[in-house]
Amino acid sequence: MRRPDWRTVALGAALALGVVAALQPETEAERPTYDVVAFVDITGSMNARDYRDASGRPQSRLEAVKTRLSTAVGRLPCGSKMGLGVFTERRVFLLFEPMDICRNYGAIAGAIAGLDWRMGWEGDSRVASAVFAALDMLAPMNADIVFLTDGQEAPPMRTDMPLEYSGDKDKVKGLLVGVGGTELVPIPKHDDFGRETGFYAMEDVPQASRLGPPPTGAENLPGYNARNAPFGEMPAGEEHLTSVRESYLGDLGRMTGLGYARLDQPDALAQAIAANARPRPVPVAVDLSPLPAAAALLALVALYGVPPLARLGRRRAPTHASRSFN
Amino acid sequence: MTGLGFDHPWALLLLPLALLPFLVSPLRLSGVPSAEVAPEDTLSRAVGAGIVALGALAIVLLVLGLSGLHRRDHVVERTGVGANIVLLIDRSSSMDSTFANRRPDGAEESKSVAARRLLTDFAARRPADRVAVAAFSTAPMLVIPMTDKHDAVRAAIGAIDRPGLAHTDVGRGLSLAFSMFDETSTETSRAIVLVSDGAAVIDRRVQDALRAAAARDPVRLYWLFLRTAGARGITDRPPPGDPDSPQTYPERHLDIFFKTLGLPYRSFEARSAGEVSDAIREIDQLEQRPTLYSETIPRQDLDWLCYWAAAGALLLLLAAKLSERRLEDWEGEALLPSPLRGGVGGGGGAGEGATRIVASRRRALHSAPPPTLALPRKGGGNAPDVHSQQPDSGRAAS
Repeated sequence: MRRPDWRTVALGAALALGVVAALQPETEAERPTYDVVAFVDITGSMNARDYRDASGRPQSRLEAVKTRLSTAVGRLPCGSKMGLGVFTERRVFLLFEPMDICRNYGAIAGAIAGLDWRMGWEGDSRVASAVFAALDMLAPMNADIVFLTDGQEAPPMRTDMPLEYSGDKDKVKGLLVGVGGTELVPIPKHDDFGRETGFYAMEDVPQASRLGPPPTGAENLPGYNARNAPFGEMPAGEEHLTSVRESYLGDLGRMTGLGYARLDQPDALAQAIAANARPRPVPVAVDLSPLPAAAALLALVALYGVPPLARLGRRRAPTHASRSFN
Repeated sequence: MTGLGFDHPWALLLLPLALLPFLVSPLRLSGVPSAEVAPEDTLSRAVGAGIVALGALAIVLLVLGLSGLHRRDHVVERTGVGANIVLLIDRSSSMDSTFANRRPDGAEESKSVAARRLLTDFAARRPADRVAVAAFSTAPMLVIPMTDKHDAVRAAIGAIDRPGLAHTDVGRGLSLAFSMFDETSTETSRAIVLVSDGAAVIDRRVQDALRAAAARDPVRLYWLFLRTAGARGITDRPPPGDPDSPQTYPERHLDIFFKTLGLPYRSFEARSAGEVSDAIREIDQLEQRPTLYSETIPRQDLDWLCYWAAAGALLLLLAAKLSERRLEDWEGEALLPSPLRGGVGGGGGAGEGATRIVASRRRALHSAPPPTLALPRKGGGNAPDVHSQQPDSGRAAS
């Protein structure tokens, strides 16, 4: 019996590979997904304008968070879930529970765009308490945290009372995202109708903590009066100005087992979320059909391409005998 | 077709490979002195063109499949029976206690848990709805904008039994709710469902704003009042002699205010989860109006279709290839005059590739194939190659 023509073999191989590709062979692979709840600081200091938007105009921190966060979560792998909450005062308020990002992106982006400092229910900004409260809330939900804040405690923390976290450091992972520039900028002030009326001045905000009992040795402070000024007079300070408190947020992160990243471009934020949140591998079907299809294409290209190439080689061979092609 | 997309559009750069079949034949070449030995016939011409076309088609289809051809997910507008609903939910801390005004225990659920459960059912029963969720307490909060993604609605309703905030600012919450209808929600199908367990005095300025909003965008308004035991109800009137003011009877006065808005309005007073369920069922029945909603048809991969079609083309091509008969195979028959046959046999055989049929369309090129003669290729069509210096593999195989 004659050996079949190699072209028949190539054609047969291409056919077989084409059929294999059409049957859509699959394998299962694991893809990391993330389950996070983003809490956005909506306190007054987030209205400070130390970002710039795409056209170079000054942009408030809250607006910067809104545009970058919604783009960043869109970059997380499909199957990831996201919930959203806001923070003012000393606690967080959950707007919605984690939902699939890819399927509900419109709703998530709309909800992020709807964030407003006017949602705030009180003016205080106790970042550490809110982070602890958020971790408490997320532990039973088995979700990770993305807490976006400038880290400015208002009123300021007691410097003589160290902060302690009593919760479990490993229950919830995630990161604190520092929002704001490193330069001190003024904080806009609003009237009762939400109209901007200027900036906070030094006398408008407490410059030091007045919570709890006065520290020991307070009687030596200037302006001390046991009844009227147990902490002494209000010192001068820069609490009416704001910049991102990176070292404070870093400390807070270490205390609670969270990472820290500065709010940057959306890609960097998405990477930071992926690096700090717990990956939850979900099985995804990986389509293997491109492999046989590519092989089939290769067989066809060989079928049609080899004869002319061989001929080219043959034609050159006599003239360039010294430089054999084969 | 605009609905088609490619995952790897760069793979389309391989498409010019489909020109290869126009230049080269998959059939073996045989030397033949003159194509005039076979008569012209249209069938052969058609089969020859078919072989070329099948080869090109197979390559095109494989490349399309490799580039991840798919039909993009697209949104289809459907009409259904439902409504565009804004759920305006009270998240004040009083919602966290039970209807009997106690801390929830195992036996009795809190008002917010009951509301969560029943509203989730409500949303799940109504696939044609578009729903937005807003919360209000001390301040109004947009939770999710108008959406037909029921997952999102479920996630938003799922958060309502979280610990709430201090106050109940119904007025500003309502004013947010009025602003949440988008232009795609047809005017006749707009409804606001206010779920609260208390009322508050509405600031006069907010009252004016609400009246203006109600005149501008008429909606149907439902107030689902979760009445706690011992609290005043919507219809409770002050005993004679007591002042009848919004401060002392906020529920009664909120009801009166709603009635003055000139909107279709219903209030439901529920004292237990069962009554909430009945009220929600009633709203469900009332809100059956033609709506436009969109449904997303997920993307459909088409690469498997390309591969099957390519396999089909290749099958036909293989059939053609297997029915190939070489001139040498006819050696014993008196097809060709013997000198020519000799030429084919001894002359190095490469040259003309032809089934018997295809051979017939060759133009006469040489009266006899001198083994050393190599004509430069003439481009175009299926012009035969007549190169016969060396035996090719096909020749070697035979």
